Amino acid sequence: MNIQERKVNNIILLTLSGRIDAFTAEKLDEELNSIINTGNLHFVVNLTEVSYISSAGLRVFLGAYKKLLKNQGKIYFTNMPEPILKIFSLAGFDKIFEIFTSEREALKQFGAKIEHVKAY
Amino acid sequence: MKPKVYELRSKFELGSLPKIADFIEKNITRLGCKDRQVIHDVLLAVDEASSNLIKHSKAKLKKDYFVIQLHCPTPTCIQTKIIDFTEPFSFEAHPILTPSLSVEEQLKHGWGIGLLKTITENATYCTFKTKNILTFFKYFNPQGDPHEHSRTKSK
Repeated sequence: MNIQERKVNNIILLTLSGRIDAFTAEKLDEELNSIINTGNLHFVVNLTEVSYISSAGLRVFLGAYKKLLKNQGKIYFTNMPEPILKIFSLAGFDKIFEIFTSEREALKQFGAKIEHVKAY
Repeated sequence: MKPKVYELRSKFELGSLPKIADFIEKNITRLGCKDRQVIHDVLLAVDEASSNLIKHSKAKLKKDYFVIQLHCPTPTCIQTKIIDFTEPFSFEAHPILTPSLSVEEQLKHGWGIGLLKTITENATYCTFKTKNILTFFKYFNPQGDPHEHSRTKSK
């Protein structure tokens, strides 16, 4: 799994690629927590290049969601491949997370100025 | 002719998960499956079963590896077997996931094995004197990826 990080205004855009399994979920957990601990509370996570997310990965996102909720933060997901969308839905994640078709849509929801953001 | 069985012996290490996923991806296509949803579901189910074994069986190992077998009993079906030589676990205690339940309610039983049961067909877990065998099936269209077809058509 690879994690690419960008920042638009005060929003962190993470583009994940590869497999999120119990092994790589630890790296994702560390990365997310380290960003949250530096005071960043708004996230857009692009999953377009992710081949699968195991339950360990779902737990990482749930942990981040709870931590952000406590601190008035938010995490949005974008560009979700159909098989992953199905897993989110089975786990009930579609009820707690907002899922957008593009980064642009998610950034709009945050009220970001997005003129200079490439469409993904 | 006997159907070809692809087999991998894996160590009880989370670091082995990428090797397991590579094994599934490579051999599931050799068996004729190109359906992206089916490949995804087999990858995820094997990942969940393997992670469960690696995380929870380490102290009770009778052999220091477990076995993953992949084969097609019919041209439209992938059968996956995961054979381990550890103490059995309670397969029945993990219900299939119910989307109408909240995330917290789903989590009471853990997600991994419930997810495996939900995305595969006829998942069973048999315990023997010296080993346990987890078996599940996925059915596919040997003509190709139906999702790919619909993407092409919609262009």
